[in-house]
Amino acid sequence: MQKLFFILTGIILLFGCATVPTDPEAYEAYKEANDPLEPLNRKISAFNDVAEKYVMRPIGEGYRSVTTPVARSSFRNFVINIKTPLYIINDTLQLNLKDALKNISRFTINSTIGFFGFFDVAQRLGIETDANDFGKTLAVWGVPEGPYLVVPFMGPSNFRDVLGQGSDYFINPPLYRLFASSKSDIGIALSYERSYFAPLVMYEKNMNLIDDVRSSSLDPYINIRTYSRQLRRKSVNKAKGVSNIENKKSYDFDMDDEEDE
Amino acid sequence: MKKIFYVLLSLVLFTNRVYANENAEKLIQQMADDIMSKIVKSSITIDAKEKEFEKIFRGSTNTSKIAKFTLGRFSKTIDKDDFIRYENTLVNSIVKTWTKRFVSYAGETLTIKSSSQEPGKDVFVNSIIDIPNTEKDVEVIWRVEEKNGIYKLVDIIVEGISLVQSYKNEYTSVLQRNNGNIDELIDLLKSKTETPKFSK
Repeated sequence: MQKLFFILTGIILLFGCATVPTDPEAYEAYKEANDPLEPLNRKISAFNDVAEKYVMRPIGEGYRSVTTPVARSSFRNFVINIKTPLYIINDTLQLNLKDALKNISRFTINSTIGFFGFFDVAQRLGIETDANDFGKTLAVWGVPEGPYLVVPFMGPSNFRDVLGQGSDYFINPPLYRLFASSKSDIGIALSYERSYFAPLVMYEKNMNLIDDVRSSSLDPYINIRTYSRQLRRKSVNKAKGVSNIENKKSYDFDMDDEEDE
Repeated sequence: MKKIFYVLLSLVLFTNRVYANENAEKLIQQMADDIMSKIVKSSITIDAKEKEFEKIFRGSTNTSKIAKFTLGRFSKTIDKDDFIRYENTLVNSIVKTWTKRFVSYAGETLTIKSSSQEPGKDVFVNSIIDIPNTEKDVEVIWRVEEKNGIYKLVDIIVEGISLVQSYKNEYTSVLQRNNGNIDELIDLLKSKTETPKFSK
């Protein structure tokens, strides 16, 4: 394990670190980007693009061609419902009991009246919450996000969220594991859902967005970095209980500082 | 002493107060209505739609401010002619990209919910876009500046993603890699606009 750590550190130091600019303004931009591993991240991003093009895209197109928009929406509901116990655990860890109770209600209603979660009846009843994960829990506990990272096959992230994703896998409700290890039908179905189905269902939804970013961006890597970071910041701020008005202040950056008045 | 206390208290209350702004809301509603009637529902050619959208966009947006902001630190060294060339190329790129998006309209509806403005600051108009067959509405915030009673759009924030911030990060990265050469950025923008590969 120690050996692996040193090998990985060596690779990052040899191939992965961006040159720190000496010009003060360029250095400010470098700090703001928070991407010291940019050369390595760009390589992983290029690899992910190839994997997306030749593996995920044909599967996604195939899935899209045999399903209707309404069916795909139902599958997404199902996937979100199966993940809801994880949201409840993280809501509780963040001491957000209001959302924990909402998610308990959502899971109960959608798993029963909503036919195993295929129909989001709870939303129609006005019970809505956001997805939650251990990355957000770490943020609420005060863990800084760390530098930007591109994870092979998974895409944009950061050190804190990588740790969060790993932890989510282990804290995922033990009931699912029990079913999976017992080799019962439901357990096998759930394990397939977790490993193959959920990523496909969520990927399909974003296929057009990926095309759009690629076709309109001068530098898709930078665009995806900006998009993912801003989206995540909004979501983390919400988990931290930052009010809408306070959250809005993050968009209220000074647009006049570059202007000649 | 008591007077000073009340002055300070009223200052604190005043500066923290957030107001709604009907004029900014009207600007966005008018823009959305114009796009719907003159572009989305119109049966004119794509070129004519682009021209219509350019009129709407230039009329309701502070394009110069956006252009300057998106150049970041490089805006300080650019000369006037180059800046005008860049601004026109940027507007052209936005117009062409967005007109294509409006053409592939799939029943989305925009609803303005509210607006908020702190004294001396820009107005934020909150809205939602309902996209058919999706689980959640998309939150869109329109940042509108007010100067001498004239309202102009300066940014659009979609689900927390600021459009101008994204442009700035992307374009300054291109300029950084090309030693601040604005011609490289303009050429790249033109090539993207002229040979678009749009999604199905």
